[in-house]
Amino acid sequence: MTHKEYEIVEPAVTELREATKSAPEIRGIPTGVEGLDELFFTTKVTEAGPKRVPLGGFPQYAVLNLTGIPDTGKSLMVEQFALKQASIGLPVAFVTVETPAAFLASALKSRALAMSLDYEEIESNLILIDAASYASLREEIPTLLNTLAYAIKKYDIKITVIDSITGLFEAREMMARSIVRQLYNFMKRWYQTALFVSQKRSGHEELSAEAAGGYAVAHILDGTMVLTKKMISSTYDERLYKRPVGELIRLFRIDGCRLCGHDTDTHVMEITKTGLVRIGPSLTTLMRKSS
Amino acid sequence: MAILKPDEIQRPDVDSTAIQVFLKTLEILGGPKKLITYRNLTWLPSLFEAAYVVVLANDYQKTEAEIAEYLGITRQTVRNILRADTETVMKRLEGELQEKTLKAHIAGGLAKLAYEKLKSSS
Repeated sequence: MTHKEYEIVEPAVTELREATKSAPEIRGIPTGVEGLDELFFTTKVTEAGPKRVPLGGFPQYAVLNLTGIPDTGKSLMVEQFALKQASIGLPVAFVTVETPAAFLASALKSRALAMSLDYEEIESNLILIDAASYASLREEIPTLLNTLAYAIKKYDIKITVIDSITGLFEAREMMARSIVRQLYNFMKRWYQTALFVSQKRSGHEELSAEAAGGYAVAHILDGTMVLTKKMISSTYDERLYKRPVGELIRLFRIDGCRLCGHDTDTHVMEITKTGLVRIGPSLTTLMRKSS
Repeated sequence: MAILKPDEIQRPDVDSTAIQVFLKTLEILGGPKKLITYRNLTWLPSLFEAAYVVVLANDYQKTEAEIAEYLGITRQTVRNILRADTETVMKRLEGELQEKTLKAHIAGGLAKLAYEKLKSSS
């Protein structure tokens, strides 16, 4: 019996010492969401031993998944992130797959006002790629990646947001793994810090990492954050969440992150009157207060 | 806030990728001269067709029906190409070289092999 001869990919075998030389430094990229920057952390060695210190944002070069059922605040969260980064001078590519660019631009403007950010600075640093209006960007991944590469080179983009990747494999969810893998590899090749929004289907458990395309998105990307909402419908809920019956409560959890340590609690998340999301106390803290 | 204009959308060229895959299949076969020697240049259209099918399926995530419509071939041909086994294609090739018509699954196996080689070297 003859066996297929496989080639040896020599450059793929590297000593840890060599790999460390080209390893990027992991630092925090401010999220633009109150209460979120402190939930990612790293370890520093002090005289007293290793100590956990907040990273101050998402880990740089991470490609993160943000998933949740409808109207939980996913888009708000990525918009705040994009605006924050653009306001501090980092060029951002925002691939809008759901909302046409012109409508997104007006939402971003009001969000920037609510965040008291320098809108002039944002205008020159935020690049919108309208995949909602142009089917070729939504349906042909090579076209989307070529266009993104063009934008990255032209504007020296460091941050990419895609809202949502689910729109890139609508009606062909069996392709999700292959599409997400291509997007992930692309982000890594171009040293992007990226946030991908992914939608949940009705049968998915709400606080799990599962999203459209199954667990493919969560498996491939560097980490997952999950949002959900719950109606306060019993006195038990009232006691637990400190909210009256009939009120809606939003919850946030970091499901995992390969690049750095992170908080593992489920947190209360609020959408303020000015339409911004902020992360509140953990449920553990709420429980302690009530006991 | 800059919105990328329609003329800034960078559409990759399907034809040039398919040509690259096609040329790679010829290389795997031992070069064009081998096909001339065996008097089976009639394989070329099938190899070209298979190259397009593999590129459209892998790079563009097109469905079997979409590829069949785009290339004007049957869904069954597309299916045969996409389900071809790359592991056994080289083994079966020696016998096939005597044939004037190239079977879809052999062309598919070659095109898939060529595509894999191109992607792994890029």
